[in-house]
Amino acid sequence: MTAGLHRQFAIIVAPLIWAAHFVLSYALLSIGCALNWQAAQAFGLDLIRGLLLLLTVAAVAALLLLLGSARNTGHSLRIGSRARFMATIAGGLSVLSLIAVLWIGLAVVLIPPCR
Amino acid sequence: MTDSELLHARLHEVWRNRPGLGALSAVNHTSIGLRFIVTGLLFFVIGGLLAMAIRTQLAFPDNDFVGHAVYNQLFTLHGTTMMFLFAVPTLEGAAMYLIPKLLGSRDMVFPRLSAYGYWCYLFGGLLLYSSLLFDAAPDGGWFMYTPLTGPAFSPGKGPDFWLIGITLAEVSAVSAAVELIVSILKTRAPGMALHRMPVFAWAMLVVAFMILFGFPPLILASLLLELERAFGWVFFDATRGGDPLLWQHLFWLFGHPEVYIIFLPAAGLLSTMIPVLAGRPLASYTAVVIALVAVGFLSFGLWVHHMYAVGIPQLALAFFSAASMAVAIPTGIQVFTWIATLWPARPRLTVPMLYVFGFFFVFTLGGLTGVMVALAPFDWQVHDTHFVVAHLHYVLIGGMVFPLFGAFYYWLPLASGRLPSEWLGKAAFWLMFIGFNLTFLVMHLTGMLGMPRRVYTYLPGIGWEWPNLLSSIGGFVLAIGTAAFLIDVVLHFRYGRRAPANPWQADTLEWTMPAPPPPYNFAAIPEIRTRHPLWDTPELAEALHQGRGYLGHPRPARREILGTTLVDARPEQVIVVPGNTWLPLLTAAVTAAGFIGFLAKSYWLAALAFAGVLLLALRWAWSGPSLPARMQAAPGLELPLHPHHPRPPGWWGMLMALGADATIAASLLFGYFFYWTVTPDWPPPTMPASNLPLGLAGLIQLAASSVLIMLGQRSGGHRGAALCALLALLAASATLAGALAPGGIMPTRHAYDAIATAFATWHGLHVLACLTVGAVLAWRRQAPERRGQWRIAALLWHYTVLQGLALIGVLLLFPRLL
Repeated sequence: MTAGLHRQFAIIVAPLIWAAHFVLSYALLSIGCALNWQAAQAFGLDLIRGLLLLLTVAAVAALLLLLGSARNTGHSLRIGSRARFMATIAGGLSVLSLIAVLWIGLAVVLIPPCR
Repeated sequence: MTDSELLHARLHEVWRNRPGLGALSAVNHTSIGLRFIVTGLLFFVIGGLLAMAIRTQLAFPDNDFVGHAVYNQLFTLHGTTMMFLFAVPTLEGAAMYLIPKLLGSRDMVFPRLSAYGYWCYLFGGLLLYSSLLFDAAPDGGWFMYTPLTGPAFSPGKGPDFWLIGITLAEVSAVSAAVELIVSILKTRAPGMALHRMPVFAWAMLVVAFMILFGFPPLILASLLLELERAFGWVFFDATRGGDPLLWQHLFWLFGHPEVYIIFLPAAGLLSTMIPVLAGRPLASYTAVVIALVAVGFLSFGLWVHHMYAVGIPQLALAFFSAASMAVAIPTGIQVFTWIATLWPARPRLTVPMLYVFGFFFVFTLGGLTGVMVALAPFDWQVHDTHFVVAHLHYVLIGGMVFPLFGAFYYWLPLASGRLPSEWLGKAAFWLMFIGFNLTFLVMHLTGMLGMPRRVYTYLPGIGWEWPNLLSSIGGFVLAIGTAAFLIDVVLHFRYGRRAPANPWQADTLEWTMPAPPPPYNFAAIPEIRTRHPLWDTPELAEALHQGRGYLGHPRPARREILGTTLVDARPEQVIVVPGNTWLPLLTAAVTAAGFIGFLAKSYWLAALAFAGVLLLALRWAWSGPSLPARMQAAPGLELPLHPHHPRPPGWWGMLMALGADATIAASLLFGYFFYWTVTPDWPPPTMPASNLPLGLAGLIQLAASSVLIMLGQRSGGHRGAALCALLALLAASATLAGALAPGGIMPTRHAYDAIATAFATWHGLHVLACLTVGAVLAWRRQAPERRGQWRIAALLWHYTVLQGLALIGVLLLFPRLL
């Protein structure tokens, strides 16, 4: 049954990725500003925003993978089955998490840090 | 007497409450749920009267109905009462009442815990209001911002009453969350796999997890502020390394999820009622479940949107602004699903339907102004004005009170077996709806005209007279509507017509029972094969009444409920739940005595009471009948009784409770690193360096105790191993104490000392719990039915060790990394 628990845990991986991205972004920004990291510049981008963008790209890639795998498993399962329901939930949550992550990514592109 | 009458009579004998005053020992979910609801409504009336006083004062400029001091107390108590003593407990009560009935269970898994939670809530509320007797009502606002509520600016007892009373009430919320999660995951009727679970159960599952992770930050913040106020420990005092903003962070880490903790249960009620009133299934069950889970997560990323004006970098504000707008998407998904459900239907304008429409109108407006204030630049314009007051009332009254009142009208025929008055119900609705909108729609304008919140009066001639007077008139119309609702509810118990069976032609299991429901809910537990059991198998009610199903055996002698697997709800154990007992009331009374001792600075009373709580907790865990290993749960199905199952409900309960503990530990760590980013010297030069080799030795001893427990558990509950683990834990504690504070820690000196002491204290409390549990393990003889207890104890132990490694590890290592 614990194995079953593991499998079912998969449905909340997407929002957990959003949560990790959110908390890490906020922490990185707060610590970066406290340590004056924005002074380091490369390719017209400061270090803090560079790291934030990397973090966002990683989260987006993970969510896209998750969405793809949910679609693949979902299609092969019987309509109305519990497993298909779970795959749909996982897919839907990936889409919503993706939107929320990209929204934060947009802020990183548009707004300077530490001001 | 027929067989089925005999069965019902016997079940009644096992499950009924004691008569007279003995009813106070009841633990049954129906009784406890109703008590939560009735008490919540009483607090709603009190909070409403406070609001009337506020609106009377603001009706005219330069009014002197109350002075500024009383006005501060009025809005503080109004907000506190409505949030902590009405909204959350009433919805929890509704969930406790409904969840087992919707899931096809006879009770919740930890009935004594719900009863304990109820008494803590009642005592907490009474404690808060007892401040009136001492002329010390809190006046720092419902969010109690420091430094206003710190020892320097609020030397009186007001904040202490708030902190202690509300913390006691929050204990109740966390215990209800543990209870709800385990009940929803483990006691659904066989076959009710996750994709067939009623939406209300999904909503409450999400909400219960949110309470588990949302309430602990506030509990911690309240404890820290109380320690600062009572003993001068430094947490929020900026002159000694503290920071008042830590309070705001911890408060809103709770406070924003709280809004959704209030809205999602109401959304669950709507998703249950709307399909029935429309006579067709929810347009998309899956979409609503996705939305519920998404809101549960996203709502934790909004807390700083209450702090846009405190000087946080703009990019950080943009993160919270983004999450605040993103949460509107899943909320919109739910609203559009409800509209789509109603679209092709021709619902009759019954009273619950009116409240549903009222909800749509009011909540949607509140959501739209919510997106407006989610934008930082707009928020800076209206921050702390009446615009925000109007917005939050649209969200909370629209999102919670309207659906809740609709739900009352929907489920009263079940709870009482009678129908409320259609005429009075409609009159009450229209008065409330018109009164509400007159009060708060106009209030947006008052805010846009610049009137700040929390001021007790204003001058004539700045254009605030008319909107304020209109709001006050509307407020009284709203109050008259609420009174009409309450009168209708009270009168219907005596004068209401008898309700027919299943008056709304609903699809869910609670309508299979006779009304009012018997204390055991179901004579037998049904097998579920669809999402709409009563629509697809209308003959179910009769079959259950005859006792055809699980646990319908003819000679019940214990309170038995069926434990099923987490995902697919396959029967796996029979859980025997305790019957009427005075333990919850007694334990809650002793807990409250401890809190009162703290409040009165009688620390001997507090210490004595908390020792009493520990003893009562041991008695609580100890008691339990000796049960056979297996029993027949249905023809051809033998199941183990819960003490003989490898994962009894207590294991799940412990797991969830530790989730709340871990949140407190994480909040402490957040505090530590937050100070690091804002305090110039962290750690301060006054802080003596810790002894690293000794500290590492202590951490190894700590980990070793966990290994010993693991070995003891592997060997089927070895008493010697428990004893060795106990000794290892004691040795680890002594070593770590020596390593951390060679030169002494003084929590009144600097925030570093204070938070390090808080780490040590929190870890120490867990060590104390482990020592107690370890002593019991070492003392009691091995027995097969105690395997489950060993597992539960081991879970607590391993958690304590992990938490210790994290907290003490940071104290030892982090200053060396800087």
